[in-house]
Amino acid sequence: MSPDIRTTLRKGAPAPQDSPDVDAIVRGGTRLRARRYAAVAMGAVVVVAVAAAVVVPRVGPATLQAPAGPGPDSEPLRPERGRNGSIAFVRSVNATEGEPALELESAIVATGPDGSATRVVEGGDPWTPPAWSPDGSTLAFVDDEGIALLEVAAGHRTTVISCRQACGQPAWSPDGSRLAFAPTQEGADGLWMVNVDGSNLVELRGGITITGRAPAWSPDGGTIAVAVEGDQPDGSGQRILLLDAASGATTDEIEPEESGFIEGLSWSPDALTLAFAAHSPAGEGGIYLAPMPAGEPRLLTSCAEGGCSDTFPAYSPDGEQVAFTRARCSEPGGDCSFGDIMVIDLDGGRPTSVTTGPDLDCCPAWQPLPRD
Amino acid sequence: MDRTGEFVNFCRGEYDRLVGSLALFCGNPDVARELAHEALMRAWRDWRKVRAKGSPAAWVHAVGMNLARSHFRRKAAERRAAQRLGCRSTADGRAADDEEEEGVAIRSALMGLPVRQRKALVLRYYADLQINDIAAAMDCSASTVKALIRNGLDRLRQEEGFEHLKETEHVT
Repeated sequence: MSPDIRTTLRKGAPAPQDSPDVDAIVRGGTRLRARRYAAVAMGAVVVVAVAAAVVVPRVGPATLQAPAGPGPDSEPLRPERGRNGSIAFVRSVNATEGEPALELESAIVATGPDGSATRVVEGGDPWTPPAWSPDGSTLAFVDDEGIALLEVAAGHRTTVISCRQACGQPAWSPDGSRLAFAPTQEGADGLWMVNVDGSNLVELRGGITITGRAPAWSPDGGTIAVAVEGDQPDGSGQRILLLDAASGATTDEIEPEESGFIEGLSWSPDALTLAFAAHSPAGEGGIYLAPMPAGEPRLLTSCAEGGCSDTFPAYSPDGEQVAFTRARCSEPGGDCSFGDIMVIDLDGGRPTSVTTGPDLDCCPAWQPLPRD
Repeated sequence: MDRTGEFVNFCRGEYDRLVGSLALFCGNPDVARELAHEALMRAWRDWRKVRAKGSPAAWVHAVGMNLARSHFRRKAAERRAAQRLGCRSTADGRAADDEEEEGVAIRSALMGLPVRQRKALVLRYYADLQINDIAAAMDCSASTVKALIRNGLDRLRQEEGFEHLKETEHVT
């Protein structure tokens, strides 16, 4: 008689040897908790305290009007000086030295590109990093209820769709009227779109498993870049697909030299370059710039030799700099539980720190200031 | 029952299943015990949140498997470094002599599967978690979980000795 899968798997599990040492587990867990609070007390407490003081009104249906912005039919895109606003990112405050950052208390923080005027704009454990609207007025992210929009100056908050935490990080269309995202709800693989008022929810492309990072909508509106799941036993082998924003069809593909994990995608404001982070399972790699459409990527920055990892690039609105996360790792390819936001000039030079401290600051989004 | 008592009961009830799942997932029973210990410590650290999630078992399995991946990424880096230096690595070495032959065979076959297929199969058919709980633990949709299970079974059947493996339920 043929064996069944359950019986077969049971044969592969070790026989119970002894009872768990529950006292040691409870002691260890209590110690971890104490270390978390100690870390908070040593400095990161500022974020939690301010976050708790922020009162964000929750209102009913979305009322945002589609802001004006460049669209597919606009003039050729010309990045402008003076459009670089704040850098928003997620700060997770209780990572403990030597441990992976799991289950963190986190807040969305914004800071000037020089690290000044740092402030919490949204507390309460957002589920994804934020994305600035093209007019720089509004942050989109996922919270406990679903995809949320926060008009930062007014503190006015709306929920676009109630998908709870099952929605992936949204990306704005260049005209600010729609959001693209990769949900994880039952029966909803692929890439989806919704208007900012919650209407016209559609699946643009099925049949692909997008990794848990945000899609990137090109500033000319024609293309959406997504990172799709790898097929190697360790999950590596991820690659970038360029999808037609109207039909969802794949128009091109980028397979990074470091065939591993892709962490973050960002278009240059002129839509001529795609920045992405790619790392091999051993941690080799860094941030790359690929000329579009699908040209040969070149390495912009890497700190793999220094026991850290450069990830989640975000172009500045003037197209002259890239912000990114420099995560500090226990070892190359190991856990990277702490990180700072860095900025690098594209005309050369070394990256400079925008944030420092004991926290995990991750996943910058650079605010475009309004056009004159 | 107080919070500690509740966690202790959870720990005692879940430990063997967690060790078994992690052994199937990572292929090494000794490492699995360490990972189970660490995952349960983290569950206690965040017990209020974990309990609120509705399926503490799914949470602790997901954390254990994340820890396993971090563990083996580190070990892989150690092995590569050792190879570059021209020495033999002892990382992740294990003697199979005293392990039961069939157990070694299934763990070895599972290790040949893509990591997400392996995770879905173990969580469904060993840990006995519901499809929706697995989807939450793997941060994907239920339909993706079902596809991973189907493909994982198909791939497992390509391994010598597992050609006639039967499904105990139909995953549509």
